[in-house]
Amino acid sequence: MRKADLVIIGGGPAGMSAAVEGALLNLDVVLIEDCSELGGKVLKKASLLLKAGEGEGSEDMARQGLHSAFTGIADKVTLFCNSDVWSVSSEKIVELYFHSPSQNSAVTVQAEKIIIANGAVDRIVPFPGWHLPGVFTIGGLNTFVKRGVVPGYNVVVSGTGPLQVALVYYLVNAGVKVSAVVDPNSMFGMAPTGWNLLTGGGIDKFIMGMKYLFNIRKKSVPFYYSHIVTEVVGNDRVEGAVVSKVDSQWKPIEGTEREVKADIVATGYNLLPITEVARLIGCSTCYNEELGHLLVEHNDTMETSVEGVFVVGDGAAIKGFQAAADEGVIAAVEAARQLGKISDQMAKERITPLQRKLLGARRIGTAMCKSARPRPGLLKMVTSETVVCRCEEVTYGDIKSATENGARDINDLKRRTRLGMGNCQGTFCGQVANELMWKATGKAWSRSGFTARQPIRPVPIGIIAGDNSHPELED
Amino acid sequence: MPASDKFQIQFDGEHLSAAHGQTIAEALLANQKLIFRNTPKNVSRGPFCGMGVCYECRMIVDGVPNVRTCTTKATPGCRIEIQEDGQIKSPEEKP
Repeated sequence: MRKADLVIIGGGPAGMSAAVEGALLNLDVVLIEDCSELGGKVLKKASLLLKAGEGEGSEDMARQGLHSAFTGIADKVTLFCNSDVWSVSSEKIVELYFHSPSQNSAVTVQAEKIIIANGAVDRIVPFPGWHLPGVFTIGGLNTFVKRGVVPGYNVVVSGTGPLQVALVYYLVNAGVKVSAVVDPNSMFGMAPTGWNLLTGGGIDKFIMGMKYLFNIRKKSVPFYYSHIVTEVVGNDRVEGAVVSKVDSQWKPIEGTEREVKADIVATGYNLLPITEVARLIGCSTCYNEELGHLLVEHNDTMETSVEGVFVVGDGAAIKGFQAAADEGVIAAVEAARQLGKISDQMAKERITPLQRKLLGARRIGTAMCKSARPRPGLLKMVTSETVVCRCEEVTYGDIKSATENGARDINDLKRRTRLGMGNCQGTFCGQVANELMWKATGKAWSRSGFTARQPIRPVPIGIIAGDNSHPELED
Repeated sequence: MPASDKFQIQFDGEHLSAAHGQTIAEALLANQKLIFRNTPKNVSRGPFCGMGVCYECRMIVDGVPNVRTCTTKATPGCRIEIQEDGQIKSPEEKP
């Protein structure tokens, strides 16, 4: 079995910074990335058509800085790209699987320390028609648009959060017609975020946001505040969108519906940390009432309740790439200290200034997530025919009959309906399954998440059964 | 973009143009192709999350099913087919 001092799961800003720091501290580092290139969703290497400098200034600089720092230590790091981690045991045995049409193999690594840096996923609320081709998450459409790919002519962007503003900015810059920007917050909904940016050391983000909004305004894009897309219509692709006014709890108001021209719809409510690897290892989590989702518990050096397992970046809590990179460094330094590679004093000198720097970013991140958090009224959009689990095609009607027949929590719901059993393993339906059970029964009760079980990603049975020890990779 | 960076891919018998470095999903979307697979209940689906976690963009690539096209690079001449999940075949059964 391959052995490593430090295994880092995720090659975004947090994971890359951790790898750079770990390598500089002479740790034997294995870095695992599920895509074909490093940089995560934000700091992927230069986009195809997006010329340098066209993106936000600090983002461009961070992208260049991170990639050149990594190039400097690349020969000291074992990098596995196109690799899904499908299992991690509490003994820190990491199982990964290379996925590509031409390659089909697996590796097992025994880690001394693990840094989980697996990032975040778009936060969603299902609505009629959201399964149609042409509906994307806001983050998803952004990935394509930033690479110069726009798959339609009339785009409607519906939801909340900073990514929404960024997406609209990239769309208008690409010369695409944005039919509507729809936000259930009132026009002043972003005010607390702006205030937190100004007072929390996020002045560069504030300026960036203003620049985005100014450019969008110049192109006279229609904004619908206190509205939401309640339905996407179409046969086998998006043919239009229905926009409704919402009340203060974001409940669509009947009689206010109007149809908007659309062939592409983007939806989302900021991001949610991905916690499945941490939960699989057995790290403690807690439900955050303010944010309305699970967080992996960690101390001020990012170590979880499981000794030697760290959680960093947006996978720990949403706060953006700069803070993610700082957390990656903190975790790598602490891992090196625990392995005796640097003294306590040196570790403290490196970590303390970063911890101080993180306070503002965390406050801003929390404020943004709170103002973007979907409010309960939105669930009114979900009808009996609405697909909730996209993979297994489970509708809200199926959830209702399962609860009527005695389903007690979402794991029970999963057994009865197959909700969450598909390829994405409940990444999207798991976000709202509890709330939809509450909607069906009229009362809030269980808050459990799906039990994390291996394999956490789809993997061929031959890989699970096979010998993945790879003696040629042993040192 | 220089023309030399462009190449052809095959999509359900059609020849489409792709650019060097593009993923299969990017190449198809750039050609306004939105339908990537049909579910067991025969409902069309296309890319959703764009980052390899939702698995909605999986297609048959050079005869191999369940390839996530949003994280897989397009290669010159690669053969892309819409995946019919109601009637999926293993790679060995393919001609």
